[in-house]
Amino acid sequence: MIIATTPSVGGYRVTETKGHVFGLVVRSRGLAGNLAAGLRSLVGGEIHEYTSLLEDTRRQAIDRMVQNATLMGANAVLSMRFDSSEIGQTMSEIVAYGTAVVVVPDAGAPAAAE
Amino acid sequence: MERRSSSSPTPAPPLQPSSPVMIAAARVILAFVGGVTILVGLGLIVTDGDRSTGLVTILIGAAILIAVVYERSRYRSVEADLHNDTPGPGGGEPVGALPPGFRATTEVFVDPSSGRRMRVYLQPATGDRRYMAED
Repeated sequence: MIIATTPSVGGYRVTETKGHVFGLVVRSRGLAGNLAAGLRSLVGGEIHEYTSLLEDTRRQAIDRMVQNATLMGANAVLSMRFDSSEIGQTMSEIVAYGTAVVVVPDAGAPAAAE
Repeated sequence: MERRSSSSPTPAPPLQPSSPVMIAAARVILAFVGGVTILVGLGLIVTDGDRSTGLVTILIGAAILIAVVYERSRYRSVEADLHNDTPGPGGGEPVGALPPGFRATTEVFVDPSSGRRMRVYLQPATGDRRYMAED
């Protein structure tokens, strides 16, 4: 599965557009994590607890998007984007979305890694 | 942005992994608060006979303890999240636990929490993705 933020990928050409695809997730850090992050914010610097939360949320959103794209019969997601918001101040929502397409190697184009 | 004249890329400095001490300290504090709250609730029931206030206090203490015990640390995969399985290094699969049928992709990144280099594995038939620490 090729995931690209660009509308096309080098070395491939689009043969079929399946439609839009997305992966959505809402995660929270938990009571102890929020308390630790609150204590850490008093002294400043990176809040590792929330960095970890957003990293995990990003992973899960991509995982769900790729599962949905596979269900649609696509082998690539183009123009992929992230969007984020918060719910109730302690919950993080991230959606990964893009266009599910079928691509095939283009003999005339320079080769590109998957 | 600074331009480098050298043709060989300079390796990026390793990220500083986050310390789990802060989380452990927060868990201990919350477990203590939860335990004390339950004891206060029991005390209210036994000494004052205020059963409703005591029960509410006990429930609050129990909720804090449950939140501490069952707090999820990292996301591992969609399937592992459903079963609340323990994550491996960098929040990925435990060593040697990669299910059959997964193949390595070129997608690599550094986990910001642990500083581990992670590689993404894909099951082409289902679209399932797994993460494995490489160092």
